[in-house]
Amino acid sequence: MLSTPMNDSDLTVEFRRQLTLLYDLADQLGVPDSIAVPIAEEVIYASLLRRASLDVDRYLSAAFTAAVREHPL
Amino acid sequence: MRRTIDPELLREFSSTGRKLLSERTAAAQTVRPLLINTPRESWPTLAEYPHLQTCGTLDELSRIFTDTLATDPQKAHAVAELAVSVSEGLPEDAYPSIIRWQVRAHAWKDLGKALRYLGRNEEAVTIFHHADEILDKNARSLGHDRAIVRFNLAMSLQELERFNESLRLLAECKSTFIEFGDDRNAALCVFSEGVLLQRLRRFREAREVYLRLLATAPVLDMDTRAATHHAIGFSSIELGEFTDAEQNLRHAIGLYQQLGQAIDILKAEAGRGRLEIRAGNPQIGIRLLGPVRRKFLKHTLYEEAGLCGLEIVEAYLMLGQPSQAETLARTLVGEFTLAGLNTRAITALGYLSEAIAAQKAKPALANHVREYIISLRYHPEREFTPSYLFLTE
Repeated sequence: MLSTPMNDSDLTVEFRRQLTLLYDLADQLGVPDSIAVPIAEEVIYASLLRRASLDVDRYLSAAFTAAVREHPL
Repeated sequence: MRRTIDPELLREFSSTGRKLLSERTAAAQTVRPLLINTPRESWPTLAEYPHLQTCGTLDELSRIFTDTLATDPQKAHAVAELAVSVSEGLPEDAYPSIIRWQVRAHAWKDLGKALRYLGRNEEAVTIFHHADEILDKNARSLGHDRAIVRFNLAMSLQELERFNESLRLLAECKSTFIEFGDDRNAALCVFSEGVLLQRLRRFREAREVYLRLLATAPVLDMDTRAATHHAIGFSSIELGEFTDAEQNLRHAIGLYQQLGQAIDILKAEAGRGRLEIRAGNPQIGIRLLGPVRRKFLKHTLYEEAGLCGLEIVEAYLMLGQPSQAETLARTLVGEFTLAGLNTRAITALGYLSEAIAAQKAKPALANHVREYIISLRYHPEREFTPSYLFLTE
């Protein structure tokens, strides 16, 4: 994302899409809000510095799933 | 269940993204000139400049580090030390904490890489463990970053001949990279596994690993494909499967030509000479290796030229031409001395020269010395132990 500057509105739409993706994934995995919300936030921040060639949706899903797996439930 | 999305959170994401982007743009214009205009011994003081305490600076330092590592690891080390200082001094309220941990871990990881390039692998392992701990303790969402750190740790463990730990980490990292869709790093894990097996002289298994890697060719970049064919060529030589070796070396040379990688072409050409000697055609081997050796010398790559020369010495001994072998071995002593290479390598070459002069050297002694000199890359302090197995009665 960082290599292609977007305007405010596009950025908002993109981050909304990313959060929705992660919340849907949380539902599929049966992860409660108290865990899913902070992890989704972290994962999106972390993805800002990912290598540009990595697919963002794949990155977010993998990071979220791994973080949930490691979370002490 | 669809959760409500907080607009304030979306604004924070956008604001952080824009901030990182503008810092990156600014640092791309300021950091390199600043390093050029500052004596290296004063670089540590740059970390105290408030305008440099940004993720953008770290991003630019990381680019400079990558550009420099192979050609000037001392400079890369100084760049990485500066990056570590900047990362440790990032203002707490400037970024979300996860980003601070992320960039900090990468700064330490680069420092570990520099130490590895300088042959300081014990220190590198400690640094990689530190980077790993930063991620482990603070950031459960940074699995991809952790795999990058651990991949580098695996490389240093390999240099320290801690092969089992290295293999275990490579498998773990590969699986993480696949999960993240990071085909390039996943391929590097597989390639490194092959290299490790080659170092253990498990050539057949190494070749199988390389072949599996090639089976994923559509996702492999040309560099990795070339290096893989090259490595298959060398494994096949050791397995005595010369047709396979020849095909793969030629394939590697073709790819290196497309990439314009002159030195790698020479290394693969040297492999073809080695192949002929192993296949019992020492004259052809000498004919192939002579020009390659001269080109290495032209590039001032004295060690590579010396390794090539040792192949030729072996070929002369196979042909029963000890005087040519001795003359060349003494030339190598001179070249290594002039180039200031490891004195242990010079001692080993001197021993070889004397053994040839005394008509006592078998061809395998030249190979033994060659392998010893290669081992000095990983263990510069290793003593040369002359083996009587390689001497005639």
